[in-house]
Amino acid sequence: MKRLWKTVPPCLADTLGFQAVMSNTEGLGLIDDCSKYKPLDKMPKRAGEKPGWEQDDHRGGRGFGGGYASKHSFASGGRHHGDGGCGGRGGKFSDVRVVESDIKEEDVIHGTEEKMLQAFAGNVDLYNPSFVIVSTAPVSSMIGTDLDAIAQQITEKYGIPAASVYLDGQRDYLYGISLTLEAIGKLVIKKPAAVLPDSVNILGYNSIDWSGDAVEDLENWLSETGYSIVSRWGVREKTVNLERAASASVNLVLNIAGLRLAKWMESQFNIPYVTAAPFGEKQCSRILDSLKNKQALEMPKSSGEPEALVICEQLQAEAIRSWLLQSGYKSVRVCSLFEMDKCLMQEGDRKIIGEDDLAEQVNFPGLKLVLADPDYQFLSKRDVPWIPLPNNANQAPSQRIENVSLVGSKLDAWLQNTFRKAGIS
Amino acid sequence: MVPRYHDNDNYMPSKPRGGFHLEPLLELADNAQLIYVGSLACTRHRGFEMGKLMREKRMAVLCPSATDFSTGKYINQISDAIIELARGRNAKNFVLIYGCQCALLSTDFDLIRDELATHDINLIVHEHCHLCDIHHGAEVRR
Repeated sequence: MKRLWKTVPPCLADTLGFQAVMSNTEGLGLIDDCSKYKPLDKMPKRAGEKPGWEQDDHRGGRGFGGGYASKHSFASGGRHHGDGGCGGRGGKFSDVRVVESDIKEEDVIHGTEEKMLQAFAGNVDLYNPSFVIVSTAPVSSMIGTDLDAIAQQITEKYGIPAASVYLDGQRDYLYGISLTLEAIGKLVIKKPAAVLPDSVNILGYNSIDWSGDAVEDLENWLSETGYSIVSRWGVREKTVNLERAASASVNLVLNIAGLRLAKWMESQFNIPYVTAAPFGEKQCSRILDSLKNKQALEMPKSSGEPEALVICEQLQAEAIRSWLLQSGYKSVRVCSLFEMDKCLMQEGDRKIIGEDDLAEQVNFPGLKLVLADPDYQFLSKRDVPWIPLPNNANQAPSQRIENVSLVGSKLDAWLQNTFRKAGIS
Repeated sequence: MVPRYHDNDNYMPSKPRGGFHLEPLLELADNAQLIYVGSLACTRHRGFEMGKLMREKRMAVLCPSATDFSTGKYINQISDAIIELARGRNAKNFVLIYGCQCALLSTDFDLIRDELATHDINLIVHEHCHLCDIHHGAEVRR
């Protein structure tokens, strides 16, 4: 049955994608919801890691969270509840740059606009945001809260640019990230004075799928190949850099969540984009060619009944498929529980919308290998070799597989090593 | 002993910050199954307890789409999901907790319970959202 999760916990929702993005900006997310948003980095992270703002320059987004918000952290002395009586935060929630309206039953009848404005008024001094994105949540999306009117009032009263995203809390986190990045882009990006040669924006970086190591490796790789980075969309970034994103000569979309913004920037500023995760040495080489020629990347084609199945974020899965095809597999299927772009899908690829669907895929006859969250293995009735992939988007995993950097040749090394350990030829 | 189930916060063995534990709800009936119906966003509360119960095959999560709620299809989805779980897990007693959408739409749980009764399934509807600690009403319907 669709949308029924029996043994596998569902993934993070779109509103948490909204939170993941906003907590890594200098902006503030204002969400029309009844319950609190806790720091995503409450989930286990790498030992001994410094939080957010204490890290050097742009290397935020390690594991979860780690954003601008932590400069206000409780530990360094500054959190209190909002004066408006709504959505204020106390210590434990202080790594979140999202404030909720704290709506109650009666607000559904009277409307939630006043609560949203109160929540903002009570927190604006605390967060001092450079921009504001307002969002609906499950109930407010059902009653049709007019977010655009709220955003307009915030801009008029406080002089802070504000925009809206309409999320309903029913879809996956990448959808939320994607819409939020697009809304920020439309709000803050300015017309460029000039286009900088060999410069790139990185779109879709997000603190759920990308570890700090991966961010560092990617930026080193781009730097070594002669590219300068104008702005980063999804991990910690300053508003001033986001504003000048249109001066980049090309966009690199490395997570499907960045694709909406890339398409908008192409239509608005004529900036071409390359869509691929820079994982694997050969894939990176192809990406460099595409960046240079400003042309779409051609991925190796898979055909026939699948021998291997990869279930994760679409572009990461594409990179793994590419590596497997180079290594002798003839057919590899990509599935994802999250947002997928149909243009990038190959024959047999599919978006999974329920546990039955997932069970059908992992039990597909003829499969010789599965690469996916280990929790999905509960659904497998056959003894197929299983390579566990990082599962930070799993709401409640039986074991947390931390993100690892797969940038460049690290994917090749990781897969070779993992295959050797698992005894897979 | 069956715990009290009406609008009284004291019946739960413990009340962690932000809500109640899920597991005590399974004590409301013998060999009960727990099902949550609501938005994906709400499953961020009590996540790890939810995951544990799901892997133990004592809980399930139904997340209808916004369209399912708008069209009323979710009512049939609830019945279908419970019937499917009852068959798969050989269970007769279900405890249902729900998110704000069902409350907002004044869901007719009596209708669902009557439908399930024809399949020899007993449904207990708990009016207190154990994910985010919100009361939808004042009583539990049996």
